[in-house]
Amino acid sequence: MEADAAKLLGAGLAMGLGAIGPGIGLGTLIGKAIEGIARQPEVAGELRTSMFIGIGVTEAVALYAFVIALILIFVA
Amino acid sequence: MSLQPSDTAPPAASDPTPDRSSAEPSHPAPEARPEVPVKKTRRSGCLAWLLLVIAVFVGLMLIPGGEEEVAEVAGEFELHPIIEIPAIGPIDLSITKAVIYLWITVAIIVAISIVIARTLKPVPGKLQTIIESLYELARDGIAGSVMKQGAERWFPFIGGLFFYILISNLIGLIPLPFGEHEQLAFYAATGNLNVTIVLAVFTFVFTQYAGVKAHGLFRYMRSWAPSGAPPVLKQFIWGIHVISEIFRLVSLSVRLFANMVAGHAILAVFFAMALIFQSYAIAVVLQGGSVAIYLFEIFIAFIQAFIFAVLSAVYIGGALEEGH
Amino acid sequence: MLNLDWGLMVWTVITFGIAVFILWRYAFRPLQKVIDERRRRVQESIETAEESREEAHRLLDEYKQTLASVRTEADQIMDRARHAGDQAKAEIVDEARKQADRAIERAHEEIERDTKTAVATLRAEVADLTLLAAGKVVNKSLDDAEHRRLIDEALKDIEKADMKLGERS
Repeated sequence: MEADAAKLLGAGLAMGLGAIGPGIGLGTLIGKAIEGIARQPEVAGELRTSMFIGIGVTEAVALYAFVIALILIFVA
Repeated sequence: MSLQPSDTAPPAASDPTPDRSSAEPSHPAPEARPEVPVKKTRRSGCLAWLLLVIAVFVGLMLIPGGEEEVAEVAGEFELHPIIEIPAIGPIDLSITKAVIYLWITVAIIVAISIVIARTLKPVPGKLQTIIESLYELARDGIAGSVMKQGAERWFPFIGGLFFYILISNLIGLIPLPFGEHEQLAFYAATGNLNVTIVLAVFTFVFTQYAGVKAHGLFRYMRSWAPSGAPPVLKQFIWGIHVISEIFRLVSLSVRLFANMVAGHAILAVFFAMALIFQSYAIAVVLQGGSVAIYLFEIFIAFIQAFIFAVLSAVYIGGALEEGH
Repeated sequence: MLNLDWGLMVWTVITFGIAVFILWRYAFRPLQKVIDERRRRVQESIETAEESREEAHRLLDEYKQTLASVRTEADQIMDRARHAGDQAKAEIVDEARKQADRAIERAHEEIERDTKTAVATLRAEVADLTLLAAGKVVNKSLDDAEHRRLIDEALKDIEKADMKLGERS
């Protein structure tokens, strides 16, 4: 296999596999947050802020995969 | 529909007569009757529209595509000096696309700030209400809600981060003539790791500064490990905390950078796919998709600025608090 | 985008510094001031409203009290006036009655005096007439002084009889 092909393959795999975990995590996170808001609408604002912080933290994992893919394509 | 008046007229005329039992059952019938044709026309109208869309789509498919073009998605993020400035050691202060975007951000901030300073009234107008609600979002929603103490003191930095990143992100969604060969193109300064890492370093430095200033150097350092743990475990936890502090730097900067790059890459891919597939039909669908992505990117621009500012506030607030 | 670019970092520091300074100096501070000002004003106006409400309540109570006291006072005044009026009426009536009595008395006195004068005049006249008549009858001219004495005597007798009559009546 050529090195370039391996890089592209690696980048695709990194992105795809790296998106699985955060995808599940984000689904759970947002689902639970909406559950919480539905149960206690009076703290919706606080829950929403926490949810966005959580989204940011969780999403970062997928973005690391994205950066690894970028590095594989452009830098490595 | 034109039959309806003549249908309803007889029962109305027969109403005063004592024979009401025959008039009443005949009354619902003319009411129910016009419902059916309306539904039919609505459904047939939908069908006609669908057929028209399909016809247009097929027609577009039959038209041969335009010339083949090479879409350079990655090229949009390459920086070339526009105005060369001789480098001082490793520091090359040449004006690149990113620097221009940064200055546009600052120019917009300055313009808005001066407008605010000039036109501020005790009774707010429409524009001032919007600006005030943004300000209150930054003050109460970001700094106030996650910082138990020091929100007043650190708000200028947190709010500055929020508005700087927000405006920088939003400018990235306006086509400006700084592309290759000076064509209109999307670019975001926050889509460059050097920019975001500097912002993250600001947060990191201010976090450590706030912690040291609030507790003193040694007490702050000691607060990184739980006080009740045995010495070996304590050192281990302390080491983990140091790593996590540094990793915050990475996560903050990479999150913003990667979000911007990914958003722009997806937009660019949607635009470029029309060129790749060379079909007007797909181009029409992709344009619709790219509009949706564009709107989503506006949302992302807000969310990323919000998250960066909130996390900075969380970090600084955490350093200000007593013991972990 | 991933390569190290010190120049861009420096530019970022500069622009971010300017942005934060400008925002802080020209946007956040005036906005905060305006918002604080508005909050203060709202607070103040609420307080003023509260105060004026209390003031109004107080004034209303005061007015009610005043009104009540004024009403009782008016009643008193009216009573007093009525009383005074009654008194004045009584006095006036009394006075009028007295005056009338006096007038009647005076009238009586006048009548009496007139009567006396008339009686005196009449007496003189009667004396003259009698003298004349007696002179004619007697045809003998008594001297005037003798005449008069005689007539006076006669008249005194009449008078005495008169007085006896007056006492009886």
